[in-house]
Amino acid sequence: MDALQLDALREMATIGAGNAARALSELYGDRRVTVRTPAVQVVPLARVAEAVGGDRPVSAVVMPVAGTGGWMGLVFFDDGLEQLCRPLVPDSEDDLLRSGMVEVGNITLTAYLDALAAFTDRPLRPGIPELVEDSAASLMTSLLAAAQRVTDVILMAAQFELDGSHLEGQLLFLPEEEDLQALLRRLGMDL
Amino acid sequence: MITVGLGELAAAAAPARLVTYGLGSCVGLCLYDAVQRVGGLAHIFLPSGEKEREGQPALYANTGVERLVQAVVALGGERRRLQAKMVGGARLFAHSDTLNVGLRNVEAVQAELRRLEIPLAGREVGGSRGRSLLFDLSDGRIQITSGGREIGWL
Repeated sequence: MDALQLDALREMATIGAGNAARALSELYGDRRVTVRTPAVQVVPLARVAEAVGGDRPVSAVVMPVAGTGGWMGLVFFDDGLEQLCRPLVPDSEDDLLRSGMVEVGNITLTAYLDALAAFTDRPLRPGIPELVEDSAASLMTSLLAAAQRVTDVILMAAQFELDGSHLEGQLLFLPEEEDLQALLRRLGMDL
Repeated sequence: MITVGLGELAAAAAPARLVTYGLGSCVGLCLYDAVQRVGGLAHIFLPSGEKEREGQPALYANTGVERLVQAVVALGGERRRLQAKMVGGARLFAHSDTLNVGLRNVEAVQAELRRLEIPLAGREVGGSRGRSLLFDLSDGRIQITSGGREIGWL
């Protein structure tokens, strides 16, 4: 991908971020939430486990793209996702916290998926989200295998700002082949 | 220490050590010739496939296992003496992973080992957690870790 194409991808990600911020603001009530996607990269399959952090522990919400073979994921190092959800569950009950984590992931991923659907004019719908806690590499390889993905992966940094605290996660985007082609066409690329 | 990434394979001789991370649904396959003390490690990604990728000869069980055998034999390993051990094939997404790629990977690798008549000397597979492994060619032992902690040896 060249600079222009990465810019176009970033533009789509910005729309997704805007959707996510609006939806999360409703969840967080009167707390201010902003979401930004400052960086987008395309990473080859062989290097993707390293690029997302290797053996570092992560918490992630993964979601299949319903009706397709594609997947999405929102990944945080260590307890980043938990920190993002604490304001929602002040009494720190474990079960409620985990539900909160799934919900925040669900809302964020759906928001980006909606932006992608609008951008490519494809009928992309969110599937059932799931919380996974493991190493970055294991999460990544399992996600790639579930998506049967053998080509490059789109990684987008997702920065959340909540009440002045900053948390950075990674948005993983593994669309299925036809949806990826629609995206690339939209970006002006040939395959 | 030689790192083997997703879809890669490597063969080496004692006292080299081969390591691979992120065996979620993937299978780490180790082959060892205890007499020559040579062996190899492959990080298998899917049970079968056709799309080849340069630099990733072990993406699929249906081609990767045989390529690993060839790599070890090329280093002086005796085919008839090779023993296999496998790690991985977990299911991280309990609800949404309807394909259960991990299980299919385990079955595909085992089918290839049977076809190539290589005995399986040990396996640490399944479950819901990812694993990493370190394969020591000095003695053929494999250290398995999960969540940063050692969980066993093969």
